[in-house]
Amino acid sequence: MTDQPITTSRYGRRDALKLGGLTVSAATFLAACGAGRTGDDAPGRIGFAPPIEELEDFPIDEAVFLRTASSLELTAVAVYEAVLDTGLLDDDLTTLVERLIEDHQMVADEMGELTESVGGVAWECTNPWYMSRTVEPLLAAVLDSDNPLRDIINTAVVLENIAAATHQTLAIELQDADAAAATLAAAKLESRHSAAIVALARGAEGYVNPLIDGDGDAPVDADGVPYKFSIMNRFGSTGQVELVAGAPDENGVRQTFIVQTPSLNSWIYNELEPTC
Amino acid sequence: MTPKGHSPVDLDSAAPATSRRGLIGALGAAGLAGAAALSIARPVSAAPTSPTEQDKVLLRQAMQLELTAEALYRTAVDAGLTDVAADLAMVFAENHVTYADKIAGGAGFSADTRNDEIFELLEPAFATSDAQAFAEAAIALENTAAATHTALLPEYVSREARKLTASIVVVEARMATVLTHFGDSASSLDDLFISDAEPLDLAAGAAS
Repeated sequence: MTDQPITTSRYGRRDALKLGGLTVSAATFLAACGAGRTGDDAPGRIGFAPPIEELEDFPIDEAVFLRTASSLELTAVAVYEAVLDTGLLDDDLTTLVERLIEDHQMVADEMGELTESVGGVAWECTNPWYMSRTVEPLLAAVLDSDNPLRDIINTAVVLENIAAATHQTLAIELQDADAAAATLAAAKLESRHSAAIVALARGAEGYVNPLIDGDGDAPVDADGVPYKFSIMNRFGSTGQVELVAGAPDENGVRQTFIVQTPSLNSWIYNELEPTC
Repeated sequence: MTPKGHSPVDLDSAAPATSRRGLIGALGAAGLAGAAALSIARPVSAAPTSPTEQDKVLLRQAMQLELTAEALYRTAVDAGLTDVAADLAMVFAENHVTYADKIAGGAGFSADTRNDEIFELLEPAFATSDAQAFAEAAIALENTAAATHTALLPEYVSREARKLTASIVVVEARMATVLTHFGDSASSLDDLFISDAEPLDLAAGAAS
């Protein structure tokens, strides 16, 4: 308690609320009195921000699906080439990664041919959205990791899973019979890639996710990084995939990357100019 | 890695087996291939969501194949598999019965009948406690199941049947790869990544 004198205000909080309410009511009344007004009915803007540009509504057709498939395959090639450049892989892993590059390039070429067969222009570059939003920060985290080899293997598994999920989805969406068959074949190949990477890296421990029925906490390694498994789910999942990678920060927290199958922001539209 | 041996479930008697992966060809690969050649590309956007009557005929055969696979894995477990082999057999049996249930649920019938002809054909290979022999038999089964669903997929009219089939095929491919690794059956990466298994002609061998 203090001996300070208590000062009183002429207007209390209730008075202020009343006054504010009266002002709003009066403004509403005056606004309602206006009739036949014309002009822009968009919400008002404050400050000097540039006007919002309407995005073009580009069509998504068979060629867009296949161009996007090519772009993901070539993104995988770029990631694996970067992994080879690290010099961290032993001979067996180098052989495996070289084979993965070969397979992804083969699928990319096939998707390119199919793009042209449905009247589109083959896409021969990586996917700019995935490269800037996911791959570049992910590779930076991996190179800075306290266990880069583990992160490389987990990255490869996620990459294969997302590529397989994309092809699994496209196999249903594509109307062209050849294209649908080719994407389903790619989904199987990349599912096998993913399963083999884990099996070769972890042996029998990595065969089946013990949480295949979805109960309990995800098993993690000594550093708290979730394990990957050859068979994560009973059915082929097309949901997003999480990847924990990189060195822990001062709080012991590692970066989590969320990777999803392509959507509106990552399709390779027919109108998109090559980025390579 | 060890060289590939000849599988005890090689059923291809009409022509020389080119590899382990073509093992179940005697059941009639030509049937589905012929049907697939006659299929017409359908606009997916116009496809019905739920299985059509035509889909249900094929889905019933697919369901029976899945229950057959489940029964074969249970046979192997009952024969005395142990350790990792037994674990794999139990999980894979559960996978296949789940597929059968899902197929049946979507199509509106019960998952209650296996394909006895295929079961009797493959049962001797699965009635083993030898892990490597089990792996060989199961690799052939998974690759053949994946090939069969792959051949069926373009025949389905409905979106639901196609979507479900695609989600099964990719895991059957994974199971084959895991079994190949487990059985030490890969002489090269090709054996882990590639299958030349032929689809089954389920119409010829399916119990009605």
